Amino acid sequence: MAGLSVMFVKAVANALIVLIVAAFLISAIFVVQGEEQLKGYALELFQAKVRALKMRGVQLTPQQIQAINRTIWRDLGLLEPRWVRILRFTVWSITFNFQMFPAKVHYAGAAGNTAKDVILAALPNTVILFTTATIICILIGIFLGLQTARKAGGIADRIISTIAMISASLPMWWVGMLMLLVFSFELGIAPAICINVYSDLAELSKHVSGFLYYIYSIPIWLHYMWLPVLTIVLVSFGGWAYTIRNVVISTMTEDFVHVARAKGLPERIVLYKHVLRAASPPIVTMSALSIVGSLGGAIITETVFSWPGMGRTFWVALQAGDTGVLIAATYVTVFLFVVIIVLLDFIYALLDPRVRTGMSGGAR
Amino acid sequence: MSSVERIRWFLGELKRVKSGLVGFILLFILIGITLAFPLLANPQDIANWSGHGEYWDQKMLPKLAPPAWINVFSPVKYPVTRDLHSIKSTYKILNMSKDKDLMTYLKLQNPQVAKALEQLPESQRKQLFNNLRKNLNFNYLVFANMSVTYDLKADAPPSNLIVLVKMGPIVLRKGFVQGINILFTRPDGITLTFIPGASTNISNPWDTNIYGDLNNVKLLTMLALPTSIINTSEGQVKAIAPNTTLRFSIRDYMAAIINSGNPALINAILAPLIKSANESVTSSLFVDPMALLMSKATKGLLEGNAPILKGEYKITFMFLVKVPKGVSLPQFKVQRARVLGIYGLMGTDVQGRDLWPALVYGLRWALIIGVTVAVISTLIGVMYGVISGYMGGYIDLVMTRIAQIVYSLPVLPLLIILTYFFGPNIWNIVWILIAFGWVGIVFTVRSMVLQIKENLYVEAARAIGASPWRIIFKHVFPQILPYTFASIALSVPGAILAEAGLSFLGLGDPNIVTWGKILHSAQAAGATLKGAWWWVIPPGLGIAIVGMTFVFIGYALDRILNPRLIR
Repeated sequence: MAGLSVMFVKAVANALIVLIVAAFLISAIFVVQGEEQLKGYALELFQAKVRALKMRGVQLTPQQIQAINRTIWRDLGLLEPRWVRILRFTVWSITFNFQMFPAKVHYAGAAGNTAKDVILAALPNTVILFTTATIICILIGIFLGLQTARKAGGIADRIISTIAMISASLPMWWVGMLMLLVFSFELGIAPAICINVYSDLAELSKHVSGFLYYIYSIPIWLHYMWLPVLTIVLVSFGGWAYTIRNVVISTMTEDFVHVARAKGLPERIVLYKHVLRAASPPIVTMSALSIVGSLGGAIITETVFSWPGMGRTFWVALQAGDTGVLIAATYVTVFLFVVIIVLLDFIYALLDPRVRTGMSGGAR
Repeated sequence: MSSVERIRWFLGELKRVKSGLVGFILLFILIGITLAFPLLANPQDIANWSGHGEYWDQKMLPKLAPPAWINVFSPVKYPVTRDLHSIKSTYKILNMSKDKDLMTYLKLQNPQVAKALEQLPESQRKQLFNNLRKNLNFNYLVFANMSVTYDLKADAPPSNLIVLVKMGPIVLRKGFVQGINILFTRPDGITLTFIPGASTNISNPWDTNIYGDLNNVKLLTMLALPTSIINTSEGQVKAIAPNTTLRFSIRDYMAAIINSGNPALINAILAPLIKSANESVTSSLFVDPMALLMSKATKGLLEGNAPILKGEYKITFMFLVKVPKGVSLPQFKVQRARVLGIYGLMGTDVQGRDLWPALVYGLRWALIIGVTVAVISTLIGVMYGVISGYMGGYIDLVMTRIAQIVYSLPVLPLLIILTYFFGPNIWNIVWILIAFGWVGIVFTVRSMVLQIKENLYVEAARAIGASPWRIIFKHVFPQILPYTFASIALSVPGAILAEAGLSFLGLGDPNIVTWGKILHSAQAAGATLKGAWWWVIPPGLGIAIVGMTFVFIGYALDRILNPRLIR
């Protein structure tokens, strides 16, 4: 077990390094990117203030004008050198001090106006949407993958492979547009703008509260999310089925499967009990990575559906030049990604004796 | 194997991998379409794609029109966009210096006075005429009449009828009564006038009372007829300048009227139609103006529920113009008459731009971006992985860590940021895509190299003192080459999707037309909410087809060149 703890410490140290560097990079990129916008914003504020004073007939000396400009720059933090701002954002990111990041514009569903509130409102929405979709995909994928693997090269197998190839080259957001065209415009059975879920929930909260509120809000969420979920599943299930098929096929060549068959077990039991159990580690990895990878939200897909998740938040923040929210959203995404990778590595180390004794590398 | 044998072997293998064959055939077709672009579409359309709109205004294409081929499938046949050529025009002049014409004019003005004049002896009448001419402030009276007919055979009204009338000069002066009348005659005999206050009874075209007054500034504004100051031998006068174009778009003109919320104005124009339908108007009408004009006069007309009225429609432009001394005779000509409906191979967008050339042109950039990014980023990634894996030790550690950091960064957000940063130039986008695209392949290549490194022949090469670079290029790299080819093909769709995504977010190069950009403008104009499927489906389908082509090729290459890795 000593090897295991050494490995754990190493993995965590590695992850910390990656996180610190990533936090620094993210802060640097967004601070520099947002600087021009911030300066423009400062200029706007300055002009508005001077105009307001002049309207009241106040005569300003050049020194006073200078002082006004200085105050605005100080309030926006522009007076400090760039590296100080970058480092501050870096440190705040690593310590999860997101309530220090102000949000410039209002985000749907956010309780307050700091990056923390924004993320806390957006992250669950993305989780609801993408986790639901991913779980559905995995279930369909496991079923289809096992069925096609059983008769590799058959018609079903070829169809699934083709669907996988086609959906690999389909833009998900474009499929989303098509779905809106069909289900929202032609048939009129799906909402076109998902962000309205908040107005519906607000309406609901006027009538009921507490536990009942949560019960009644479920159909509302389902009403708004079924079309995006359907879109994600349609685009992704082929790829899942194909990958799971490949994993299963390579597992089926293992000796223990032959043994199970030789024992005279029914094929169904062999598949679902023996093969699936042996093939599950890579499937779990894929699922975890896919879910955590989706936490950043698919920016474009969420924008197409106006889904109030992380992706759309990022896009709104970017257009508003909201540096704080941008850094927070990006860093949270990276953080979750890195943590999950470390956890997966560690879990495999726990389960796999070969890894435990340090015979081979990580799970990548 | 010689290279010819190699190719023959490859083609033989390709025959067995059907999807690969499909992929290569598709690729040849796509390249053919790209090369044949000048034959398939008008390059001028692309050059003026994002221009000021004058180019597209001149083309007079319908806005948001479905493609023309929908008539093949649709049970309802739609009118096809075309020019109307059945144009009739008459032009009559009364010359006031001629006694006969002057007499005609007087008869029109006041029949009793004219009768009295006719009773007078010749010489006396001449005398009177000469005095009259001194008081008359014009030399000629001109009547022009142009009519355009349109035979509606389709099951739906056209989206618009536009007539361009070239006219002028017409001098505008207070008390100088001149007129314009625009009539709309339906197959059922109902005639409307588009000019409020004008008459539909035109038995006497010289009667000023049947026209709308051209001195009426409101009327000129409604018609969007510009006036200007022109020079004549008599000095500067306010006038409708020579060669002024009256752009009479029935849809826009009628939409302004029926949405005005002014029942008097609506009745002034639509009264005969509304009366026949036994309806009445109290406020704005919320109905398609073309459907209103071209439907049967029955109940439900004002709600747009009346059936379509097929047959011959006629639009008549009538002018009665006085020509003062020193001004040339006015010219009137129907420059172009056009019915707008469904259009072209791929329809049009909300600005009236033909989508077909943009679609064909977009293919070029999809291929350029996809292939450039895939080739360069895969080669970089392979080299990186090979060096990292072969060198080992600290170099490997640092290189792997760097790759891990790049790998853990969320790609699309950073792509967006960097595009903002460097400006939306297409080559910047290509470089940025490469900067993030190389890392995916590194880990696989590295682990392959770790295996190859252990082979005896590599050890032998090292033993006889071959340099690391020699070993990498002579022994390691060739092993990875098949995998590289497959990876290049497989990473093309990703690059195309990434560029399309950036363009879709409005971060594309403003100077070129890509599929992502078409979809961006479709999304911005709410095409999905308007049901403009012809604007949304083809670009995405294009992306999918190009992507699929390379995925097919990639899988085939993987199967043929790399049978060991795929079971």
